[in-house]
Amino acid sequence: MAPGRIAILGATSTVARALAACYAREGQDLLLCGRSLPEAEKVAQDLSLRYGIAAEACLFDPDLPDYPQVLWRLEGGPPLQGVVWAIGTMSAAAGEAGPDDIRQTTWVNFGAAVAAIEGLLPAVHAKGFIVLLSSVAGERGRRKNYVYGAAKAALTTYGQGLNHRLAGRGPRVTVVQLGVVDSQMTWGMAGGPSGAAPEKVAKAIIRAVRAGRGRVHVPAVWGPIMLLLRLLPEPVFNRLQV
Amino acid sequence: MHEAGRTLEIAGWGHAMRRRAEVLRPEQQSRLSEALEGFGIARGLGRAYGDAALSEGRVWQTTRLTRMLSLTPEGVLTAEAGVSLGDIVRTFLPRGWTLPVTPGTQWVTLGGAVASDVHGKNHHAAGTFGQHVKELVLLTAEGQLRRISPEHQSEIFWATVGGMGLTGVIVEVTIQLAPAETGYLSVDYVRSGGLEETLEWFSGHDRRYPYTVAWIDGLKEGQGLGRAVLMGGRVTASRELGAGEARYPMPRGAVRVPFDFPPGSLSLPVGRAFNAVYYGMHKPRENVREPWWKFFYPLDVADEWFRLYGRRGFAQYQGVYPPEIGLGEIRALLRRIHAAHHANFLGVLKRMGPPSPGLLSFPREGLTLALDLPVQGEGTLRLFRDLYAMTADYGGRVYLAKDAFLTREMFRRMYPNWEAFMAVKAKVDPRGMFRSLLSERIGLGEVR
Ligand SMILES: Cc1cc2nc3c(=O)[nH]c(=O)nc-3n(C[C@H](O)[C@H](O)[C@H](O)COP(=O)(O)OP(=O)(O)OC[C@H]3O[C@@H](n4cnc5c(N)ncnc54)[C@H](O)[C@@H]3O)c2cc1C
Ligand SMILES: NC(=O)c1ccc[n+]([C@@H]2O[C@H](COP(=O)([O-])OP(=O)(O)OC[C@H]3O[C@@H](n4cnc5c(N)ncnc54)[C@H](OP(=O)(O)O)[C@@H]3O)[C@@H](O)[C@H]2O)c1
Repeated sequence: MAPGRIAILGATSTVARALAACYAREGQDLLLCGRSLPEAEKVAQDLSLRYGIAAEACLFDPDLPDYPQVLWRLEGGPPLQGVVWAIGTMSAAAGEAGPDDIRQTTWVNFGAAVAAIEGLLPAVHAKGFIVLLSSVAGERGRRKNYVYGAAKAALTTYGQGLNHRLAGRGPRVTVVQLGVVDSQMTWGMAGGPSGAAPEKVAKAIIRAVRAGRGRVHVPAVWGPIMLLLRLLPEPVFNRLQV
Repeated sequence: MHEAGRTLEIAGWGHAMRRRAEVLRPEQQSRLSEALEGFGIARGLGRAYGDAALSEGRVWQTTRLTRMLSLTPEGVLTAEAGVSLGDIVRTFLPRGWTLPVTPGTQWVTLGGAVASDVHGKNHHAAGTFGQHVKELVLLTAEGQLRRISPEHQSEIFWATVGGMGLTGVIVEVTIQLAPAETGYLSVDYVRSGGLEETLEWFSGHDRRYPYTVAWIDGLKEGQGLGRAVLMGGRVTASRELGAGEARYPMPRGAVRVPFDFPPGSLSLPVGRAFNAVYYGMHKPRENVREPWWKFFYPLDVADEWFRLYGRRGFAQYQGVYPPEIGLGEIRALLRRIHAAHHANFLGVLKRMGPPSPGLLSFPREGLTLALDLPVQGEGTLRLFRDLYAMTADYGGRVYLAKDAFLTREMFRRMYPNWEAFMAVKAKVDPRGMFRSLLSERIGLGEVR
């Protein structure tokens, strides 16, 4: 393991909190960045109290995007061991989204990620890692969430490209294609399945990062499910209520 | 921003009462405030037996508000209300701190423990959970976060401690933890042959121990009626441990009871056999060393054991009676239960200490008796009505966290402080935002 902290962007996300807890349990120090400083501070307090690590909270607003704020925290210290991008939003409902919703959804899920990761890259240890939380929604556009899906597809492609660029001489990039997770994001979705437990998801992500996987489905069953969905001919797919 | 909920059927722990509700499960305090609309009730881990955490409206579930915020060198812990007691023990016992008071299951939240002002095996020595709370952060109907304590806004504080969620949603709890020399208890087991002997033990012998309880055989009739296994425990001193023995042991995972057993799996013969075996198993012994989870949480070895009672579920009777109530009255209660032919597993009997200042807090000085009973239709209703009437006649009361049958009139007889409580509620929740099926049933919803 490289020294240095792991920075988590979107630290108040359900999945991010579970990931942060797994890392903290191993004694890993953390930089927890979120759009609400009081809430990010509570996450930091929790992890340092439970696991005795140093956890610092930091404001991060993708609208600015504030990665210089994050960089500033790193000055004088060792490079980051890793960066996790956990930010994502499904705010634009398909068919009803106005220009602002669309701009917001594509920017928060994709543009802001690129801006932040590119900006932070120089601060990441060459033997470190970058994790991008993407989605199975990006693998085949569906009527319910294709704006979000398209932005996540772009994020996945960005991660692949970055992985290619850095291969052998920079941090490893892992794109995580998440299936349904029982989180803040999915709780309010009518009729949705309850999804995988965040703790299990976090463990699977860490395993994939350690194994140096460029792309991974979490939970793993989503690999074959999405393969099948991608292969379905259009006339069949279009009749599906998915 | 609008917080989205999920419509779910939820139940009390006895699973005899169920209701569809819009459940919100915020993971951040700011989201909880945004979710405060309409009317409803807070809910923790749903360990209340009846309908205390059920509502026709919204349910604000705290199970993801689980951040621990600080621990002072003196052992004062501040944590979010959704943190479970089990989580606290696992986190802080290795540092020498434990819960000052704990109920018979570790899977309750801090918020739930305060709202029911729970008691434990050390009630006679340590009082209720709420008596160790130093401060609460309460989200009230107008969306304000209030810091309340025994010193500051004490009226609201003592209406909230034991207040069954009816003053608002508890968001943070600050509590004085107790030092723990080890994670073991040294337990004396005494067997009593009948009720007289059982009560004799509680007339003084129990004072020798910080932790006491009797597991009473609720099905034994005749001579052995009220026979019990009496337990007195104290925290084991570290010098009593062997060299190389872990000072703070930790359990492994729980066994699941995987599906709904058919109704009646817990029949009378099974119940009798179980009680007899349990009684027979516990030979009188002294100074038996047990790890904390076996002593405090014997029922937690199987999660979801309520499933043993099948689809119709079960209910618990728990009453507490004034100090002058004893042999005759307890015997009468047990006989009434026998007459109803309801199976039951292990009743609990204990002598409680002085009451807490919580206006609706259950414990008071005297004996308390608790028994789980399967719900078998009309007969069960009649049984509970009778037990409640007897309890009220004795000058006692039943525990709201266990209740499913109390009427408004009976509640007012048992809880003479109800008017004082309603006066505080009228101030903090004038429009009656916080309402549960329990509060509607016992007339605590009607704010004027
Ligand atoms: C096996 C078992 C053993 C038990 N043993 C004991 C015992 O020995 N002693 C004892 O005293 N009790 C005992 N109980 C009862 C249990 O301790 C209480 O019912 C407790 O309140 C449950 O906590 P919870 O988090 O599950 O709350 P819930 O059951 O979800 O809610 C209970 C009440 O607390 C309120 N509430 C919950 N969270 C909040 C909050 N954040 N803010 C405001 N109000 C809130 C709810 O509105 C409701 O009125 C036992 C229960 C079981 C299942
Ligand atoms: N849950 C799933 O089923 C699922 C499936 C596929 C992919 N994913 C992806 O996994 C990641 C983590 O999601 P999650 O399940 O943990 O849900 P989550 O808790 O809602 O996480 C989303 C994160 O994005 C942040 N965020 C959203 N909109 C933002 C904005 N406009 N500005 C700044 N931050 C914003 C949220 O901040 P706040 O905490 O302040 O709200 C939160 O930290 C996301 O990228 C999500 O798209 C999730």
